[in-house]
Amino acid sequence: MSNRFIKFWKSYSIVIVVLVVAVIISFMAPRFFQFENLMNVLSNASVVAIVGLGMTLAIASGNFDLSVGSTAAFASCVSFSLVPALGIPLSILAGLITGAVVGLINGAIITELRVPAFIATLGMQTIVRGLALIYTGGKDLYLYGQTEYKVLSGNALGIPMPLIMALVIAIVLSLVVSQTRFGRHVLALGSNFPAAKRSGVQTTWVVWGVFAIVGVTAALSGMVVSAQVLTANGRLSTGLELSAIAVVVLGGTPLSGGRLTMLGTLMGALLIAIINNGLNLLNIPIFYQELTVGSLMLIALAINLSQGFKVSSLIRRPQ
Amino acid sequence: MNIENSPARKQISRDWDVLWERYGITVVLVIAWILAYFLVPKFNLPDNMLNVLRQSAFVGVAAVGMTVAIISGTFDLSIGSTLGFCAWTAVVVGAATGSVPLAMLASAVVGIVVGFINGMLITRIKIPAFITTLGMYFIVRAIHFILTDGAAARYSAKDFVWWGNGSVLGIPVPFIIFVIMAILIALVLNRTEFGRYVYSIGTNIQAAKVAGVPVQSTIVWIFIVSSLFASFSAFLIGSRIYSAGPGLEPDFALNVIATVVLGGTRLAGGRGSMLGTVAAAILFAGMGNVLNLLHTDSFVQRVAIGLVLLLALSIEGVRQRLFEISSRKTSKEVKLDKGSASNVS
Amino acid sequence: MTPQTPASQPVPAPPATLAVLEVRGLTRRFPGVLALNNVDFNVYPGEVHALVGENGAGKSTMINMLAGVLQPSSGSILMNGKPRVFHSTQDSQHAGIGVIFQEFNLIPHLSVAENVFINREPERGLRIDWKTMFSRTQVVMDRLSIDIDPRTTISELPVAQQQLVEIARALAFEAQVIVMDEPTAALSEHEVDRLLEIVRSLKTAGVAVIYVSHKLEEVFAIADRITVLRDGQHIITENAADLNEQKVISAMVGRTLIHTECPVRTPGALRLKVKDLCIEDRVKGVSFELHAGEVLGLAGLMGSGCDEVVEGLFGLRPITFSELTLNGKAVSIEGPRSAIRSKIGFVPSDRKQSGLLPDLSVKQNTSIGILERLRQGFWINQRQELKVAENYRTKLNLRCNSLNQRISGLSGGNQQKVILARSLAEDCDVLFLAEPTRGVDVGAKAEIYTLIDDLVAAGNAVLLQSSELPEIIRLANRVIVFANGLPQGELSGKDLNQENIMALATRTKGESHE
Repeated sequence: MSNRFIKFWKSYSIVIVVLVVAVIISFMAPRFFQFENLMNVLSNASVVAIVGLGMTLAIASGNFDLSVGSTAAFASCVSFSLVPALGIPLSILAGLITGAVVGLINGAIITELRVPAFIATLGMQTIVRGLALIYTGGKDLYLYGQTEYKVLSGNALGIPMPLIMALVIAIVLSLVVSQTRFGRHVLALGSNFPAAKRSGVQTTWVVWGVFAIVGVTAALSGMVVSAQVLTANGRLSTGLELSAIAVVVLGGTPLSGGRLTMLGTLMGALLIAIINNGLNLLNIPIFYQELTVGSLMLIALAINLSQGFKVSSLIRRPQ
Repeated sequence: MNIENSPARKQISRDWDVLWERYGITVVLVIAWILAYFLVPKFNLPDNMLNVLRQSAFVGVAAVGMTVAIISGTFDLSIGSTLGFCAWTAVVVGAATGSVPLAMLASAVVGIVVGFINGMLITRIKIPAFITTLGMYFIVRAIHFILTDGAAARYSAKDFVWWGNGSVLGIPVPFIIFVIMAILIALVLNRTEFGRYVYSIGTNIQAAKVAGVPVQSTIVWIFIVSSLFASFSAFLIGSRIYSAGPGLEPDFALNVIATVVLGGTRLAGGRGSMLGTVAAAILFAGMGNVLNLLHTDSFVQRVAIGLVLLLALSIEGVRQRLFEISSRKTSKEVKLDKGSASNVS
Repeated sequence: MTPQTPASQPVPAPPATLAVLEVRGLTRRFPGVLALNNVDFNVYPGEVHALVGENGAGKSTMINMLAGVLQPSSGSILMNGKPRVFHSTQDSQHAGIGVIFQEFNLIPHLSVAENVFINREPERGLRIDWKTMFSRTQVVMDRLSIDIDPRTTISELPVAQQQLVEIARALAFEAQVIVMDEPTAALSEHEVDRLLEIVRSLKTAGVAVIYVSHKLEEVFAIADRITVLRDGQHIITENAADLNEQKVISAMVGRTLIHTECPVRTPGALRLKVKDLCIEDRVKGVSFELHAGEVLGLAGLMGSGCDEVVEGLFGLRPITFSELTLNGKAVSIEGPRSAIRSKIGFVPSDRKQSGLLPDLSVKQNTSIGILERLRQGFWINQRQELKVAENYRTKLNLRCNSLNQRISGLSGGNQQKVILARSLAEDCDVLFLAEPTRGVDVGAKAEIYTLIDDLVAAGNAVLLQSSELPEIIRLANRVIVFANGLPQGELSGKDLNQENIMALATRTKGESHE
């Protein structure tokens, strides 16, 4: 009986935590449950969720991407700048492509130059942000009256677009991971990289693919944020990487790789959005939000790690 | 345990390696300095060159501490926010008490506490260093923001700002401190028990454990050292610009780590060159100076420096790749690792 | 330098069919050692051919070459009569050889079927064709009468069943030859029987099986032919029916000892006493007494647990016991530091992994354990450190260009001497030595033996764990032999010879009750 309980807890604990927190906050700040506020929360959660879903894939494959914040900024700057020339749909596409390219470069640095993932992306973080600043000359890009761009951030039938996008991405990525060869190989890399490599899995392509996907989700996240205020600049989305990693960890995806839960990431994003919203409603200064996110991440990690890396130790013989 | 190379060939290639690691970057620095002296307008003005030395110390002092961490095979991503927090502490305490020694002390204490927490999380709770220090970076930053409400503090008393801005016999004070610290830590690394333990953990942590090295407590001390030196840098910076607030030097950790690696200390640990760290710090400061003199856009500077950083960090990986490509030509023995074969010979 | 070997027995007349896998003159050189020397071997479809030999005989080297992990220095490998060259594990797989190593190549988070079909997953468009994959896996499982649901995640399976998945994978690759490396090391009695049944079904299916093991009871239960390797050379190949355990053991160890006899010793005071030592569920019931002035040997083959006993006593593994005393007083050894403080020294078996500090100098490697003593205030007394290192350089006849050179530049034998010097410098009265001359040349070996003799004569107590039989006979007065995590018996005096040790060491689980 206790084994099943542990399994249940592992998969669904985050949902329960979210519900409990939501209830607590609604007692402390009654305005929480107002429709507009809830939509706000969902929208904010979705922005982080989108890039978090990409990050989930990366972490499951045994990698990290610390450059997502810079990618988000750069991609939205590129996208905005191309609107006059290409029109809105194509410039949105251009932004996504930018994200993919940055991701591919990350992947190449990791596979070809053998630089560990977090160092490679840490370096790219600086470079890409610098590129964004160069590209915009340090200025803001504003789309006067081009409200069609708000298709990314507005509502469709009353539901925020970011939420729809997050859900769609979650479903698509879940299907990719559970049904395609690529997806299974992503898990294989995180589960036992040397064995995967020895079995002939094309680890290089898989890594490139994963980082390209992360780049696209980061770009999308950045463009959504820019769409909300129709402004893009090189300083956007600083710290996005912390939030992205935090929602993955809170959602229950193990840092050791091999397994993931897209639903967990969505819940993690929701949790953080709810907490931040609650702090806002209670007029607690904004700086506490980063503190909360950072601490929650470390706590979730400590719990995560205390459960041990039982899976990988099962594969080894008692020697 | 190399395969095809004869012992003589091995020895020669290893000698070159060691020489390059220890002195390579110093040679590059000298050459670059000479080139800049003659080719870049206004570089050779005494004030300018001294300024480069001054600038090098702010990253350099922290790099001295980080060298210790990297030699032991780890690194500390939290110093970016520790820097800001300690600088602010120094300024605030200085302004409040009017005592520079107290300001130094307060800043150092904060550094020690952060380092201690890092060390404890890593050794007792066994959270990997990368995550722990990254998390601490954000937490310390957040605490800093909360305490300051985002505002910077100022203190401009003469004896306080002398440390960052003054000179002794023409040589900038920060640089003097930098060199003294580098020499001191080099001595500690080479001549003390602690230093020996640092190297042994970096070269083979399992063997160190078996040999009786107090691995856990040494690691805690290593993180304390890293944060402490970040706090020294912080004091100098706070003194230099008379103020300190959150958001000071966002890429600090990366700059510091790259300085150490460019200086010849490998990320994998076990070997290090303090001379290299000093030279690399001067080199970076010089690069920034030259780019400024050439009126390069500040954003381009950032990208340029980021590229050099990435290059520095990828040196190890590139060398490994080259080794792999060359040895693929001889045979496939590189694959003989524990994962694919039983250990019985 | 091995003495002359008996002439190889002629390979029995082949049946009418062609050998599916043949190896001719297979040789493999490493710097300083000839791991495999001109070995001939073959195996026929539907045959189980056992490959037997002690540690270091060359079995693993041969397996690695068949698997494509290593290249032969000379000689050839033929599949169905055609010479093949394997540059990678994929090459060998495609040629029809499936190798099951001791450490599995499985992906723990994926299902059985996915592991069997890794990188060849059947697809329908972009999607994986789960139905086909599961059914094809089921077919392979049925062929072997294995009762595992292809949908199960690997991490949920016990080790024995994971092994079966590896076998299934080889079969799914249409392997004609399956090589099993020490397959029963981690299996219970029941699981061993199961495995042997599987091997029999492989036989019926026409697959050739190369069964590498030192568990002679199993070998005789399953093999058609047995080949014995010793010191990299082929000794005999015969039909199992024409052999018995005694003959095989003789072939495995049959070498004349060229070292001198073990010196007579008079044990002194009781140093270490252990009762009912257990290490989790892998090692049980170890009890012994170790006196000053004696060498107690712990012998056993890979996986027998004798190495773990030594590591456990040094604080590197969690142990339980009913009694553990040092010099009469109860001790608790929590880790290497407390062991060293209790004056116990340790030379680990794998110096590359747990002994050497490769970037540090010879001098620094020697002094790492005594830095507290060498300290004067803050600083290490460099002259004293040098003196200590010089002292051991002469005492151990250490050959190095300079004490300041990096230890990674020394030969294996000299490296081992440095590790030994480290423990000696710590002034221990009890010394644990694990495989003290592994990877050491003959000259240094002899020097180390003499050194051990001197140490013991001076009053030290030595616990020696070794899988090299001549070594343990040369050095130890008495030897406790291990198999399957249990002590099988103690040998001394005239009973202490290679055959007796090997007989105890090759006992399988069923025989373990005394």
